Amino acid sequence: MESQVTEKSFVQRIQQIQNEFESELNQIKSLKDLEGVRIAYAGRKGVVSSLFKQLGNIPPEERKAAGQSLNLLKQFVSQTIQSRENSLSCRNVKQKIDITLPGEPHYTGRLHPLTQVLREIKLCFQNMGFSIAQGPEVESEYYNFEALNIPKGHPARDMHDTIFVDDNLVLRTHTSPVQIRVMENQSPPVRIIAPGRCYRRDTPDASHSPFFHQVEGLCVDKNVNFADLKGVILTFARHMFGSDMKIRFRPSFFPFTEPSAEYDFSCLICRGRGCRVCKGTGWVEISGAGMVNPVVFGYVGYDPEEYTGYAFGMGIERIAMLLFEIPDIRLFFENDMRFLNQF
Amino acid sequence: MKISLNWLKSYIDFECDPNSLAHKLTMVGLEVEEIQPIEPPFSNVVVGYVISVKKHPNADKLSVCQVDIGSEKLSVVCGAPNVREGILVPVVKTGGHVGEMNVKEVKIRGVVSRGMICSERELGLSDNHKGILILDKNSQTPGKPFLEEMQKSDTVLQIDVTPNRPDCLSHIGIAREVGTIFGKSLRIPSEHVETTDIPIDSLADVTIQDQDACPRYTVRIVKDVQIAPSPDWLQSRLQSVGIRSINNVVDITNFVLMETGHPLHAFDYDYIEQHKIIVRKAKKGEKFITLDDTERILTVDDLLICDGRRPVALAGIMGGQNSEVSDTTKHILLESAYFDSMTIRKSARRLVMSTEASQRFERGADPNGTLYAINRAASLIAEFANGKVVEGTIDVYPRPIKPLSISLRSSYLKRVLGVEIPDDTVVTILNDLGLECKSIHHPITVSVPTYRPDLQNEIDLVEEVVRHYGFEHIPANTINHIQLTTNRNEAQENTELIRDIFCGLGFAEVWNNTLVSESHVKSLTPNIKPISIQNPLSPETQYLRTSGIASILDNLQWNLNRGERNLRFFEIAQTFQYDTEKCGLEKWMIVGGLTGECFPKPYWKNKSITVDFYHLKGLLGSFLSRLQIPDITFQTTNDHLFEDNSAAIYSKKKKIGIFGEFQKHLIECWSLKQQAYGFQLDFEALTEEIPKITKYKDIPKYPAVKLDLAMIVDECVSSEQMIDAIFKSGGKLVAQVDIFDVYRGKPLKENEKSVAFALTFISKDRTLREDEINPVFDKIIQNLSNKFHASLRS
Ligand SMILES: [Zn+2]
Repeated sequence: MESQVTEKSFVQRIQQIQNEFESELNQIKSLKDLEGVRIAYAGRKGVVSSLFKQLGNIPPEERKAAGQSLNLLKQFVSQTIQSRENSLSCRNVKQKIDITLPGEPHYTGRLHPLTQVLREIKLCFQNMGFSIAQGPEVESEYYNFEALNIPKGHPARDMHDTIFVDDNLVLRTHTSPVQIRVMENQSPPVRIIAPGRCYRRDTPDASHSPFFHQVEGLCVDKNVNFADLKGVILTFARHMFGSDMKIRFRPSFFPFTEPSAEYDFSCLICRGRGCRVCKGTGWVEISGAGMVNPVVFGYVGYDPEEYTGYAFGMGIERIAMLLFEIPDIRLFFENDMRFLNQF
Repeated sequence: MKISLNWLKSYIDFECDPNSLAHKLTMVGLEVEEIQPIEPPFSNVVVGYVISVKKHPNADKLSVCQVDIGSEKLSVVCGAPNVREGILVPVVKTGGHVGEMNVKEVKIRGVVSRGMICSERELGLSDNHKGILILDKNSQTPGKPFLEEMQKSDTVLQIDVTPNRPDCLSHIGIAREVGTIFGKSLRIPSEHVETTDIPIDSLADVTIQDQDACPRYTVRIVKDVQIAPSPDWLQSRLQSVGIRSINNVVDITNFVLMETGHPLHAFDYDYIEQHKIIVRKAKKGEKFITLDDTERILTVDDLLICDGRRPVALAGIMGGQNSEVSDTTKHILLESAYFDSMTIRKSARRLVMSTEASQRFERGADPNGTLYAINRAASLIAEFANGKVVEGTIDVYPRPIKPLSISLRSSYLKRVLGVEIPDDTVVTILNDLGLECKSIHHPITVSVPTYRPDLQNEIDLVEEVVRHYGFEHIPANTINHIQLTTNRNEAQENTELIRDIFCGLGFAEVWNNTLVSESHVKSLTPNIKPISIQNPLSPETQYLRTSGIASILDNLQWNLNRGERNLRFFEIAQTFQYDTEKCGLEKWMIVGGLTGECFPKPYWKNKSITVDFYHLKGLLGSFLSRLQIPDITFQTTNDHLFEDNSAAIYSKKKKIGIFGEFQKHLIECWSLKQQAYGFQLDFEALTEEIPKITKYKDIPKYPAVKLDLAMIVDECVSSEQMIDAIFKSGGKLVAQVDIFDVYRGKPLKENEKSVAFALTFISKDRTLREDEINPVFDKIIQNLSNKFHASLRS
């Protein structure tokens, strides 16, 4: 009769041990501490197994119920230790690093797409020995028209819808006046490109803007000819759009060049096979070019018997629209971040 | 210019499908913009004679007609009330069509119908649908195709003729180019006229008062014309190029215009008072009603054709109502003139009148083409309006314009094109173009017909040759011997450098509109006189911008309205102001704006920090330091753009820019929902200060000593003053002073702050010892105390 225990007191004991176990578990900070608790409670000589040994002291009719309670305790101890072990080892992972958390956000500066394209154009022509020249946007009627062989009343003035400041001042309709300014101040050889803003009295739509940007090119020297012009344009086309680019020249009319041409590049979408963008022709129109009209040399005092030259133009927006497949010219000047952030 | 291929083929034979022809024309500089196939309005329509008309057995309103179409007799069901025996009618045979309808053999209420009798409207000839068209017995025979010319399909090319090629505003002009392409010669229609023996001199008289404006005036008279609708071939020709048929005489003048490119005018001879033609300039304020029923008020620059009493036509532009050819006209006075292009152009511009005639005179008509055109018209009027052409012409041409003679050296051709073209190829091309070669060797010399006013110089012949030789036969020369140059463009280089720095600092570059509204100009730069546009498209684009800041505010507004809260922009912006001496003054500014948080997105590690004055000052400081701008100081400014938390930036006492928080009224004016900061730097003033060359300075060999110092001073003492004092009293040993804390609040007094400095001491030639620094450090404290009543914070 030495240690006869009732089922009731045995269950009370189990409850007490569970409480002690929980409070001890709350104290622990490491896996090592946890191992101590595990040995104390769930080890071979631990509290739970000693309780099992006491089961025999309970009257047989009460033993089953007591055993059930003890099993529940055993289960509780082992599960709680396991989950605690998981959370402790998990905390270790967190202490390393969660590489998927966002890094410190910073503003990403952007260069305007037209800057990017213009840089590419400048790079290409500078590599070919051209320097960069500039002129004013508010330009005299003389430089914008007259000296370019477009006298007052010439039908070619209709080709430019001019914005006037007054009778003698216009917002330049092209960057060609820079040609004249450069030639007035420099003897041949001349090799320049002149990028800049131009203006036309156009109602804005998807392909027109009252202001836009052009790069004008000019080369004057002894023995400069149309074949050289074609070479420069071909080199540019390949620099910009890839080495399989083809070029095509069609006769056209500009008063300051003679012969004059429009030049086309093979269509970027279908690479010349013909598609909707190029209306099946395989070509997209780029801009105009030609040999400098000797009349223009007359205005700047170059001797046309000694020198020849070629000139060409191109629209920066046009090139950028082809390159990036931008459908509407107005997007360039809305400066919407959702647009700018794409480039 | 619209060119009908059927029409073109009356001057030249060629075999080529429309698409290839369009391509070939484009490749000689006549850009074909559109290829328009023309389906005839009806086909398989013949003249039929109605033999009998019987009532339809099963329908009250229908009749069954027996129609003789020459080769056979058809039974046709017809619903028209006016069908009767013994008339001639147009009949569509089975297999033919009218409009949208294909005519087949059908049963109508049980009766077979093998054709269709048509009304004018069904044939597309007029709106008349009251009944079937009854044809004139005298001019039609059963079985003949009805309006044969209209039953042919055609192709019309829309050609964009460049302003230098007035000759190509005609079918003969285009035929000449086509002939050169295919190496075929032209068939120019005969202009031979049978005349009566009345001499013209007794019937009219021509005086040119202004021979510069009208170098040539040619007249013919045709008597007893019968004004009637034009024959169908003529109607069909005009219709194909988009010209409305009026009557035979007017249509013939239009036909000859489209054929030759030479504008003609037909007057009603009986309305030419005193049968006199006087060509003179208008009087100031003179009024004249043109054919389009509009009263024109003229100036002394406008040229008039007058009769003995009054104006009858606005020369080269439009005829007058008072002498118009009408249904009752009996006699015709035909005008074929050559007017000065500038004169016509000026008037047409001012009066905003662009007519087929004015477009050709403006670009340059052929002074020697007047006779052919007038004779061609006279012969057609004789043929198709039964007119009797009066013997002779009045041709006032006091100073005949002779064809130019131009030489082309083959060496020059090669020099310009970079390719050798054989002489015989050159000669063939020039000859085919109508440039008769007077000499075919060294140099080739051609006579330039006066219909080519664009050909003036040797270089123009080079262009003619290469147009037809083909640019594709010139190689692309990619081997170039070039002069090496050193023309650097500093402004461009600086622009790109500045772009890169701002981009690196997180700013997005913008390119803004330079054409702005009045409010744009007035709100930011009330004291600058802007450059105003004479002919703006709208008030929104009346001025050139005077400030880049307004554009930046626009950019902030646009993007804030689209839900983006954190923004930073910059632009290298051209601005303009009116300048009495230079007229336009272009000034380049670097402008920018920022708003929102210092981080572009929420950051889990830090709380959000809103952009403020110091944030922007720091960014601009980095920018200036990257450019190595020397001696930078900041001063307070009361610029109208910014609130009090703003400053002006100086380099070597020269102001280079301003920055700060945008004024509340600007924020309101642009409806920005949050505060924003901006800056504006003068491009030229700034870039002048960028050092040309950086010189190396020795890197310190000995370690630096760092000491901290916190001083309590009055609020009004600026950190800059204190730093200056530290450098002054510290002497050469003080290498750097940074502020690491500014504290206000307890236990400091109300108007006090504590400023904490991190001092760096360095010596060039030795490691500093504590006993060397201490006296300097004490001196610094002493000096600050004396100067600013500062006390050391312990
Ligand atoms: Zn394509």
